[in-house]
Amino acid sequence: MSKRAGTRAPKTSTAPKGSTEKTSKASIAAKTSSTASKASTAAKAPTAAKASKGATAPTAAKVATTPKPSTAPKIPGRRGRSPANGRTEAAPRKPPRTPPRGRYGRAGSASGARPNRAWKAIRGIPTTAWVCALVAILNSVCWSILIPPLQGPDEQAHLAYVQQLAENGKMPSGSSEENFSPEEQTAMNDLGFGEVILDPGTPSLRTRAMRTKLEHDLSQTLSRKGDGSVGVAASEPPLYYALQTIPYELGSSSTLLTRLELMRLLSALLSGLTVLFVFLFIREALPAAPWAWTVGALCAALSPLLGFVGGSLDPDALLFVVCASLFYCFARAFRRGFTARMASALGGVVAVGFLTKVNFVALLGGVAIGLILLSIRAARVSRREAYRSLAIASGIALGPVFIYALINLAGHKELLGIVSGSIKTTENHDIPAELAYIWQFYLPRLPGMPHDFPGLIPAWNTWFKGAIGRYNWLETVFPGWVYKLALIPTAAIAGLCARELYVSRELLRRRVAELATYALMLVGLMGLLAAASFDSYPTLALADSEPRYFLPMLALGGALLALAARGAGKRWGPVVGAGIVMLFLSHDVLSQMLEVSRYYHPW
Amino acid sequence: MRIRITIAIGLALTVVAVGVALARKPLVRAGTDGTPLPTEVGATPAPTTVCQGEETVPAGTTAIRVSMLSLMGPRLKLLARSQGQVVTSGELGYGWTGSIVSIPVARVAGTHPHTTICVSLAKRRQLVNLRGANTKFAPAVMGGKQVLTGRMRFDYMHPNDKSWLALALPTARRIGLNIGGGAGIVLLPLLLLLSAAALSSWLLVRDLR
Repeated sequence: MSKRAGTRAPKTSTAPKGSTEKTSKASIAAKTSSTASKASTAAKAPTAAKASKGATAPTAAKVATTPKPSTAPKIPGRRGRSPANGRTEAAPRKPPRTPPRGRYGRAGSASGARPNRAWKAIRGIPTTAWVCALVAILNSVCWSILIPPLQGPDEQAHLAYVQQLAENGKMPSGSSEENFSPEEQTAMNDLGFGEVILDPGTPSLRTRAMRTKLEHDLSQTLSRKGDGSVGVAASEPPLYYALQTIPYELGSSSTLLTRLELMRLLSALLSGLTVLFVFLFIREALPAAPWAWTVGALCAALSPLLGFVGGSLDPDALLFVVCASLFYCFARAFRRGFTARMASALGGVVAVGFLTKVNFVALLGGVAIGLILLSIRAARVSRREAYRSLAIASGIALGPVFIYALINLAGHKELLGIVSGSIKTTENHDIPAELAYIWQFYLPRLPGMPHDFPGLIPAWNTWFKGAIGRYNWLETVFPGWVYKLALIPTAAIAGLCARELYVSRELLRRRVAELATYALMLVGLMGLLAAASFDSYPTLALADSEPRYFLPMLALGGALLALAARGAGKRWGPVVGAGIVMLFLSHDVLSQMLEVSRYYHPW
Repeated sequence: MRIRITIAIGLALTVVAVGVALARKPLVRAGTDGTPLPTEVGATPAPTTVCQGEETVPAGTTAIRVSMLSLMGPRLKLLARSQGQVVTSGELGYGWTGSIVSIPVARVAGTHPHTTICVSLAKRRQLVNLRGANTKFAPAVMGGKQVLTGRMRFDYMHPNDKSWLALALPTARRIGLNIGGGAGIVLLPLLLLLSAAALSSWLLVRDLR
């Protein structure tokens, strides 16, 4: 978890500690046919008809249970006619695939030779998904240009981490000091880093002379080696930073600022990948209305917060990819069966999550429950297969943890390294007080609870306002009336979403296991953020209360927005969907203007 | 057709919102007491009032920036008095973040030297750090009796005489300074944003009809 507070406010000190296909082409075609009867796979229309009220299961059942896509639909689940994991005993492991065509699916390789699976999977991703991803990349690149150097969230610390890996070839020392390399220190000094952060009245580089001095100083032969301290990034795993050494090395002959911009571009690509998985998740979770996939994914792509993080050097960019792909894998596993391959994918995603950011541990409760529920369903067909899949997923997922523990043991360190320290910190917590704090971190205080945030309503002051716009170091805000105005569309979207959920309540009941998995991941994340914030309370309150920490749930958010559009009904749904996307576009444009007014205002 | 109309309305409203934002005038400094900010002159977790005398409030002031640091700041009330007369007052709600907080105040008609400015902090449990410089000249006073080690900084803001639109070129130059190019570099984010908007609109028309 980021410890921005500590970095930004050394006087107040006490930085807080610790800190979410290949869709079978037959399936895609079936889904497409649910609303687009003109689709070529007209034989699948019966399934689609059943699914048209938001039913999601039939398609998956059909894919897995039928030798031909045109056979009668089967409904998976407890009371379904086919087994829980969507397979019949006689069913082949892989159904034959009819190459789908149309805007939501493309034909795969038609060659007689056995094609590469990964390449086929990539080719199976519809054009719409790629375009949504491109929109996200363009948006993030735009943000990356507007955010001045080192003004991204904790960017100075993340840069130091990459530099440490690239220049010293070693992991950071673990110190949260900021004894960065002379090169980075020079850049920070010349950019007026300390004066600009947290003070909305101080713009970034203001004069040509400042720029000239910066360029001159950075062109000198300055050491790129620090002492291994990387500030608040010290507790983070290395994967994102290791990836960032690639653009860093590509720009090694240029100045630090050029290398930083190249690294930001990689983050922008990751935000595109995030949106790609968001699209695939929504397609898998809400197959009935393909047009709504576009709505959900475009909203995600145009989300200013995603652009802001994707335009910075921040490991959150990779965490978002991991979490969106995790949601996608779960949606696919719940609908199509917990196969060994899906188990491997889930395990792999979790392993990558472990290596990406400490915050990922918050999702583990939901992941564990999800894997168990998937195994229970799969066990109705074959216990052996179910246990095997569970073992594969767990083994792959926990691999990095075991290796990390072994390294620590070999190095005579604490078994869980930096995590051990966090566990010790929580040992002294007053549990009732912490639970009350966690509750009030999101919800109104209950009678009998202490007033942890007197005068503040965190749901409004922190979360809602944050979601609408508190950028950079949280000091960049819209005028107060904007937040009040934003309540209107937010309430309308929430109402439409609630309506669709109510209309689809029967379906929700059938998918309770899947929904419980997602809900547990969300609750886990909420709990971790609040608990980490409690570490620095009462010196600081609501530390780690940055809405960007909830972007791992972007896939869920996209799905909810797609549901909201569907909530307007078949006639007006697409219109409302287009309106929601336009709203996000407008929000994004105005947020970028806010960014310009913050850093480039007259002095 | 309805999708196209929705998109057209959405884009038009966005353009209007951008136009309204560009027509606004940014706040710039009308004056300052010039106190540097090398240190902390005080800190308070409790509800209190901090007063500092010998300030000069320039005419036209519509906001006063105070060197207070908080990550989730308390409600603030500001009252400026000169020779027993209220010069201006204003307040800011809970939840501000920053090392310098800007409190909007009623527009000040004339310049008022020898003004005492008092800022009242509402009840909170968290520290608010008062930043400034150590001096013996008219130091700030907290809670009416505790003399602090120095003075805080007060900046007096008023709307610029030019709108953001009129300031577009200098703003573009400043963006160029940060990226390392001329003012023309702003065309790049502009083109990226327009491309994102065009692709989004095309997808909506294509997929939602």
